[in-house]
Amino acid sequence: MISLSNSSTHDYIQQIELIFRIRVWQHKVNEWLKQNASAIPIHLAFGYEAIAVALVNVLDLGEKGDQLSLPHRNIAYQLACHKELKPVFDEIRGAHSGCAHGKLGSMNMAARNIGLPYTSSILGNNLAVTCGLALAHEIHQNQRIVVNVCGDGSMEEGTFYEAMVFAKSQKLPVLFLVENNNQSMSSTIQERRCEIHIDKFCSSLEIPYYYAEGNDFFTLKSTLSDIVSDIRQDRNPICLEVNLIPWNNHAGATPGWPSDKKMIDIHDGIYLSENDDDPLRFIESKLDKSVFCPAINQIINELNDETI
Amino acid sequence: MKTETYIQCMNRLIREHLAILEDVVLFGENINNGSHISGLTKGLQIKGNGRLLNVGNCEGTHMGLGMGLMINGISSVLFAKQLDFMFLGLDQMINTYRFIQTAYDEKNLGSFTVITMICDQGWQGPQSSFNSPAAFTAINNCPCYLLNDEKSASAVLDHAFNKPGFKIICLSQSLFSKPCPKLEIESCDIEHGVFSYSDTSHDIVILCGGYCLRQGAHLKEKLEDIGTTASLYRVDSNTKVAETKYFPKLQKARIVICIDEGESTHFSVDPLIRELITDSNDREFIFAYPGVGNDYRVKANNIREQLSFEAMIEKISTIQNTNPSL
Repeated sequence: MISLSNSSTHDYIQQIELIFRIRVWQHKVNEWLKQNASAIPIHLAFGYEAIAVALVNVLDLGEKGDQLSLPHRNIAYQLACHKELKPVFDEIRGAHSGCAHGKLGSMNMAARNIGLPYTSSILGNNLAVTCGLALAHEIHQNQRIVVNVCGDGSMEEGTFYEAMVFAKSQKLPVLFLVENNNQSMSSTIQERRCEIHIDKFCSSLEIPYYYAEGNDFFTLKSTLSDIVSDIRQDRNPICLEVNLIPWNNHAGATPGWPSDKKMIDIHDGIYLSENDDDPLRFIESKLDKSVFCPAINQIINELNDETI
Repeated sequence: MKTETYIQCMNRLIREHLAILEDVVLFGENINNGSHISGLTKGLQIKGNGRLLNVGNCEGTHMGLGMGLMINGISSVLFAKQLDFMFLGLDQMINTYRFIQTAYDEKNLGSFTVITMICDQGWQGPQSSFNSPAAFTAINNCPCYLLNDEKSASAVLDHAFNKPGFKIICLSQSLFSKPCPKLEIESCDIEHGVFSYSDTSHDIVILCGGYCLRQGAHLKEKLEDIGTTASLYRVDSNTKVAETKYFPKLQKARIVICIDEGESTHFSVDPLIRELITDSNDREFIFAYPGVGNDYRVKANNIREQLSFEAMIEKISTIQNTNPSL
């Protein structure tokens, strides 16, 4: 069991509540997508709740704070930052009440005022922009850092190499967070390329490399806390590879078609698995159920009643 | 006194305009080494927390870098040896810039300027021969300026370095060792990239595109030798359709002589010509493309001909004299 000090208990409960909320919100969007309600592709991120909440909570995000540079699969981070579904869902729908007044949509959703200045729908495109955002912080001589989120697909793009070399050469305060979900559209890594050992690649550039499991919120948070502290102090890039499971389809609803092997249904409960490979199960397995279960059950009941 | 060459003049103007700006990032390959990109970036200096970065060979990242700086309010200038190199930055130039234009109020952005060269000094092979800035920038409809002469170049650089947003400025490598024209500008509409050097006549208006200001100025001089006055304009931006209302003589022009380079389907004079063609005034158009030596490819009265410079002047006089109603 994880032991929490009194001072951190409240924060932890709030963060874990948010993880559960993000799961339920994604279920709601998934059910909405099943009704063919969206004309545009929405990239859900079941299983990304823990990394999103851990990252957002170790950063000082904001208009004058740290910045996140996101890819097309950004919904977990958006929900972790906005802390509510409505501005995100409305943006997906192109509504004026969305966080960007419906102008940016799903794959480019951004909100500078909460530290989300740039999101790209083009694989790997945000890496170079991240370098510019970070260099600007150096010119302004502030202590802000930039986190670039990309995936195992983006790292195949030449710009991944270019941006890492550039960030190292110019000593930029960037965390390159690689979400390795072994999925690029419908292809696994094995189905499309040779193995890329990011640790060796980083080693060749003398960029510190870390690895973490995406289901383990507690280790993610402590690892990220250390990494962010190092970047803030040393003003040098670091790479963190996070192992994630592609629970949902690349885009759209899951299941997306009758013979689809992937099944996610809100009526089966909010969990994706019986095992702790699901970040929610992992949290449950590590915490005193008498403390967290009532709060979590309350969230689930509240959110089940909420319509979108 | 030694005549200042085109590249000396452009380098001086760039240095002068950048020297007064604080916290600007100047970057590019070899900008602080060797020939300093054939003299383009010699003597650059930075103020405040600015940076002078001699960077690696990753043009896609360079373009994205400038976009990221722009989002966070820092101005930058990317110097690139050839326009062709910028193809590697097209994703950033199109997709990222479109995002920025949608998500941000331009006045809150930094300024991001790409200064590059057109390799028009000779045949360098099929892969170094893309010499059409108008075609290049039509892809994202960004401002594009072609530096021809001292006065308009100074106005362009002042505008580009201080105005938020993205723009491309191109130099002609074939002009590098030639004297830099020092023509006075009578007026300009810099947003549309239209410059008026002489606004004296609406009988004949010479409209120069590309790097053809020299040819246009020479033509004006020779027409004056035979008693014909002409106005002289240059247009070098394809951002928006240029508005002729700022230039009454152009609006009323009876004969418009367009001089532009002829190796592209996109010309910088195109928007202005479209506007002139579609207005209600009757006028004659003569299109002239400088060729090798003294020859011009000329299209007038729907006839295409290869003419010497002198023969072209005769042709213009003939058209003027045979169309008194214009």
